[in-house]
Amino acid sequence: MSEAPIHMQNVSRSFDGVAVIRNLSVSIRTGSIYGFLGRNGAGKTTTIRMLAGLIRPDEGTVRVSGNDPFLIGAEERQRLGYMSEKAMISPFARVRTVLNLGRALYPSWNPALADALIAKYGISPRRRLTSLSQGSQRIFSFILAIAPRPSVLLLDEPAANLDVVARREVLDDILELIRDCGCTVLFSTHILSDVERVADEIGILANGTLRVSEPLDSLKDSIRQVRFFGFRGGAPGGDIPGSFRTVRSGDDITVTMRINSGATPEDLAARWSCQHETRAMNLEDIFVELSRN
Amino acid sequence: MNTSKQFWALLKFQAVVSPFVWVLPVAFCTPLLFMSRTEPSLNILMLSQNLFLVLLLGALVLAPEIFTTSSGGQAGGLGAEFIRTRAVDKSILARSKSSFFYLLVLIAPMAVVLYSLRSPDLHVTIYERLARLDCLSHVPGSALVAGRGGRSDVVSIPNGNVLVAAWRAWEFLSLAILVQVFVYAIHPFKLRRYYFWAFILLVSLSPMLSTFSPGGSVPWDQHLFFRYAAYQSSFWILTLASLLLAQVWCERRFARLEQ
Repeated sequence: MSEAPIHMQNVSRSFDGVAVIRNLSVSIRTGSIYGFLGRNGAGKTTTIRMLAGLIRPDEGTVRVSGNDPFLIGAEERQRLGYMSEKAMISPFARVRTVLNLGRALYPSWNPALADALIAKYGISPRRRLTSLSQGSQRIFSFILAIAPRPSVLLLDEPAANLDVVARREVLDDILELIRDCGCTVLFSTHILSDVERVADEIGILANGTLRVSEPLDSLKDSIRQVRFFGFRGGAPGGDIPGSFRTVRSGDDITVTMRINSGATPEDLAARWSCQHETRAMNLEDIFVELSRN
Repeated sequence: MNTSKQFWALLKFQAVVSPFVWVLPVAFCTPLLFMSRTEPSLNILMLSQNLFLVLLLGALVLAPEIFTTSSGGQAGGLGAEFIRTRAVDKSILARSKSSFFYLLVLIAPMAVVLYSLRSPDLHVTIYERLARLDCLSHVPGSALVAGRGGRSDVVSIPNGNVLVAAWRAWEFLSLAILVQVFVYAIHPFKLRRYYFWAFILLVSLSPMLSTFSPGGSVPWDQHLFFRYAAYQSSFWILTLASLLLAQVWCERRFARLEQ
């Protein structure tokens, strides 16, 4: 059994015969804020729903705090916080009603934290959820996820539908949370600025496959776009070893690749008798290159 | 965490989270319209036009996600996904859902039973001769009486209004058990919503089927009602036993279902 609070090994899942997740393996260490990136439909929500115990993998192993999340009971769920991508509570429910349920179900519920956040965001306990703005509904869902003080927090697009100010405030609260309790956070998004502000590890999912999973700094340092040109014997055909993406244009080859493992750009240039130039990539460049079909 | 505390917290939450579900049980009170009228027809008394509401409540309370796609199961309604991801045991959650469902289904029939105590006896018109004979031979205390204008097709049933009201409660409870099992049985299937609509259609058409009497025999709903009157204890014992078995099965099934 893995000691990582979030652990997935060779996980695959399909819906109606269409593979949504393919052989996904990831381990997230304790206290990490893991940014889970991917285009719409990449499989982020399916992955998080497996971690939340709502669905099961077709193949592979999913563990949260050492347990199969689909099988856990109330005791283990005390430590697992989950915020869905979409509004998920009856719109007719009152804020107070939902808070009361949280208090009743979670001995670890922190009323002071919940009350403080509700006051901070100006959400009246007497209002029905349907009368709250989209942003306030997201914030309220977030409050419900963190008030029980979970050790693992799953946030599916936590900043969706929030304005810039609210998004920054929510993300600040996530940071504050992890400082306070050292919980492990996995949050999915396709807003790269969110990730760069808060995440210390990154996973990029494309077409159900995890392309990379590593610390943000390491990712930025290790992935480069390299242009090979001036081939004396003609450009080589076939796949470039270790590359994420290869674009051929005339006699030029542009490769998105890791520069610190396997063959380096210098090695390749020497082997192919050509010149090369290396370009640094920011997170958005890396995300776009790795997410392209 | 204490399972009893979980159960009551979930039941209370479901009861207040979506007030509009309380509108449906009001519709179950339509039998009141037919109660204590002078010599009503048994055919009218047996009509159950609102049985499909039990199915609607079943879907709404037990598995609102039945109307969503398998990959995007973000169910609205009572917030199925929200509740399922809270700190609850699945079996307790299933039990609280079932309890709320049965409460909603039975609250009106039980009110009707209580209301029937105000005027318990019934004089009912049974037009078909075979049905009249069937009634007289099975319903305890039933007897032919002279109706208004000297009609000879009126049967007196002591506590007949109570009997009819209790029959409706039994009918609702039986259907609710069937609905609960059906909802969880079809839950994993891709075409589940269509199976469910087909079930609603079938139940909606049942009042028409109930008047069907092959070869001029007693309509099957009246036939069943007379047997119910004759063997009430057995009917209730069997039904409650079915309820318990269904509940055990549904709790186990629910624990294995994806959201």
